[in-house]
Amino acid sequence: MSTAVTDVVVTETHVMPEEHYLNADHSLKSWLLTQDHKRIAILYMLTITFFFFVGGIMASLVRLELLTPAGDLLESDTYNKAFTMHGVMMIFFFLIPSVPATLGNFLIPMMIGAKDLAFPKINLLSWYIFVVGACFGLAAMITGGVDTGWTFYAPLSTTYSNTNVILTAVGILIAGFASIFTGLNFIVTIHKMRAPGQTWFRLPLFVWAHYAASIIMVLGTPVIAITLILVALERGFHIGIFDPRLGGDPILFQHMFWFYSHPAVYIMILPGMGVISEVVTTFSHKRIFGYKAIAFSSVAIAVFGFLVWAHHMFIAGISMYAALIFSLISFLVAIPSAIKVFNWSATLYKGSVRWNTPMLYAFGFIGLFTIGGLTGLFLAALGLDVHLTETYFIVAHFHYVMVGGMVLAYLCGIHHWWPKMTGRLYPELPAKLSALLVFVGFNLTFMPQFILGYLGMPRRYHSYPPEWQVLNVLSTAGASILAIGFLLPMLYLVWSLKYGQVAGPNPWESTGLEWETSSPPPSHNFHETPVVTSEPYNYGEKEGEV
Amino acid sequence: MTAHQQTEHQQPHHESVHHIGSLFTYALIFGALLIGTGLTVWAAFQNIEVGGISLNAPIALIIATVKATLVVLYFMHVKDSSRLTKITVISGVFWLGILLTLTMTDFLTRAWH
Amino acid sequence: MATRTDPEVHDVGAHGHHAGDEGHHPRHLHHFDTMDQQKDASGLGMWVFLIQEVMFFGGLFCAYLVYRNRFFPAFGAASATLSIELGTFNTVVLIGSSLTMALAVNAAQRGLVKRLMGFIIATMILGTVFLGVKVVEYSQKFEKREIPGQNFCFEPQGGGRCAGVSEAQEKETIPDLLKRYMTGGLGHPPGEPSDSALAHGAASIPGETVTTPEGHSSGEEGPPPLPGGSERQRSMPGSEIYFSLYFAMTGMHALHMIIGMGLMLWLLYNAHKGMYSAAYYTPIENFGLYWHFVDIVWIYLFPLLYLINRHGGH
Repeated sequence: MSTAVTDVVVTETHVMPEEHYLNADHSLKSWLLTQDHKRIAILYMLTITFFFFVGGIMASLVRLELLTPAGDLLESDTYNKAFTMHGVMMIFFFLIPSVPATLGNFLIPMMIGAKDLAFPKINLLSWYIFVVGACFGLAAMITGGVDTGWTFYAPLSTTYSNTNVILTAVGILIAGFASIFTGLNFIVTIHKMRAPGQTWFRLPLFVWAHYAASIIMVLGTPVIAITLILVALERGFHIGIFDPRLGGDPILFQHMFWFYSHPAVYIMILPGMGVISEVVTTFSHKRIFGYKAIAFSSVAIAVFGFLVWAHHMFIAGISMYAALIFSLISFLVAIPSAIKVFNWSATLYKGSVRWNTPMLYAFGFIGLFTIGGLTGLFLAALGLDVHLTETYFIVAHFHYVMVGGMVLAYLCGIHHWWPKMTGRLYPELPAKLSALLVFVGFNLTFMPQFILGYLGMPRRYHSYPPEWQVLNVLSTAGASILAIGFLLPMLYLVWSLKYGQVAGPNPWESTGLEWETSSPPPSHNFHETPVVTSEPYNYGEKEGEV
Repeated sequence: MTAHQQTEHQQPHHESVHHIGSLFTYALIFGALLIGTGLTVWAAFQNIEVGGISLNAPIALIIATVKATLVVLYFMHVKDSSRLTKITVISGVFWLGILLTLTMTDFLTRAWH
Repeated sequence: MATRTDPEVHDVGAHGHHAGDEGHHPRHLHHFDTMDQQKDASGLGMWVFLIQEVMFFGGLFCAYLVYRNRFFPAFGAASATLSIELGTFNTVVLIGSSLTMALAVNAAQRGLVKRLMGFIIATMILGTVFLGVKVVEYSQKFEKREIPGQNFCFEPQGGGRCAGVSEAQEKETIPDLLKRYMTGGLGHPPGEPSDSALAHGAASIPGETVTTPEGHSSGEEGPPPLPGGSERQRSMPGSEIYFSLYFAMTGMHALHMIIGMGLMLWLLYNAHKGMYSAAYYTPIENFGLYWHFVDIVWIYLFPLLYLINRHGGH
């Protein structure tokens, strides 16, 4: 690894291309009826940014309440609604669509050398479906919220809760179809739309990761759709599917729920891993280590991810024999994840590492995801899980994966491809500052929660014994730093739209088809269909020889 | 799903070289489906047991699966489709199998129920 | 990655490389290189959509499997209330509609538009017959109060017909019942006072003391009483779950058929406009796949719902 800490600095002066997808048409109608995958990606990005901040406000309420041991800021009912809406907004309306619907949508056609996704109209439809679903979610929140936790466990959701369960469930159900259509579009596009010469093993790992995530979107999401329909029917019409008073089994609900919701974790993390693969290799300026291992590990995660769901249910009363099987397979998922981490690390070795903001986020991702992943092994162990589950340990664990992993990967990708999407560079200094704030704030928020959980602090209560206050204050303090870290990009990225340095087609000297077209790209991505003649990440032989 | 890359290399031809099914085949399959329907109703009224274990449900499911397979292969032309289509169909059935089997590992082995 | 032309790689990717070969078809979308590529993509998209549908119904089948194992006697008894004649008739009708659909696709492949339209109409007629029979079956369930919810009653030992069906109730029409159902008053036949607090299970939260029709009161600990009449409590255990699944599964199936009927109207309109020919019939073909899938779901639903333990074994 190079010893000097250096950045890629764009010294050439570029001019913006005369025609690109952003200035093709300026009318509102041209945006709302667009079939250009790049514009739809931008629509998605604006929408999910809004929901990220809605979910963030809920998170702030939760952390503020937990500043003091007494339940003094929020009533317990209100607190229940706050953490539920935080979970619902963040998971279904931010994390699930985050990287796939924005960066994936924007980049996959360009990376494979296509003019668009296979089904542009379905792509637009999926955004509209998402917005309708999200409006249901918002309406549920505004008209009183929902207090069941994002998991909607029966019979709490079907019988006992007095809140807007049906409205929220319908919202998630609708948004789920947006996810299914996105996954369907990706699968077909990756199979059928590749440019001449773009074979499977010449695909960027970002595309492999999205292919794997799409499998989960298509095969997992319909199960939660039907499960939520049953919950809504049971609640609205008092039919009996999960109701124990009629002989129903609430644990069946958990099986059906986690059949989707565990693999959904990989919908959230796999595309993030794809981003990291691209960024690590670009900013090491070196061919990725173990291309095929990373590619196949993505698919392995997608498949194994479907076999482990009941590790969320070890204390729910499932059969201990089933628990044994699920525990064992859960450990197996660690293998493909570890393969990726090792390969990214090996890619850095003897690379010329540049410390631009995307790389900072990527480093953050690798470290935090590793912590999140390893603590997952604690929870996969049957005996230890009984002690740790439903405590703050589990909260910290999945935030390390979801925020430390996916949100960092999302920010990483946004910075990395910002010049491609907008044609302008983000300002490096505030971006690095925000990356640092996010990293520090994140660890300060969630590291204490590991300890709290280990000490036995249960999740989902608005009050706690006073001896845990110090750790909770640390956590809340970290959350405020994190919030600043998330708000800063909003300012300098918007600033850069007008004042940022013009980037040119390939500011990071990266390989990949998306960097060979102008920034921002023309409406049809390429002026002529590219022909691919070599494997990806070909950094050594960039000039001259093939 | 990892076998796709081989699939498409070996089959550079496109699916659109389309096989037009003969009307006779359709009639034959229709007849088979009708017979299957009759058979499943008839079988439901027989008490089929081997060693004290009722085989009615497995038989009903086998007949239904044969019927479904006929529809998939002939009416939906999977028989003459690319390997990718076949893999897609199989993966759908495989994932349904995951859902049903792994759920049943719990419900069938509960000591406390 | 380099982007220069290399003759060796032309046939490796998924793109066909001979865009100009067949002239420009009016239905050729700009982002596809060839009509072949466009057709392949649509076909694969439809199949991916269908495996999504498999998992969608799969959730219902999963619930069915669990409860059928747990409540086999109730499932058998409840299944016996369904009419085998109507079920078999409908199975034949649906298989017939699959045949006419296959023939419609066949006609489209041959470019015979008149015949294509004829077979689509035939498929629609058969679909309507199926849904009509379903309406008859549903209305029988409504009349016998074998619908899940507060008014549920299933006592096979009591002569197969629940006591307490008042004359006013017998005269009710389906819309009346539905209206009562939607307003939560189904537990209370016409003439009886309706108690809306009881009618909504969700409204009775723990901690609130409520009185069941039998006069038990539930205190802090217990679950809220099951809303509905005493017949619901006395019904055979598991039977209400059977009927819940019956309505969920056949209802979801019927919904798919109704959507299919709508799509067929659209295809018919387009065929009438002359959009389809031997060179372009992808929508017909893909719709055919959808319709056959709906048929396959029914092929499983029929034995699983209608034919449980018909021989009266154990």
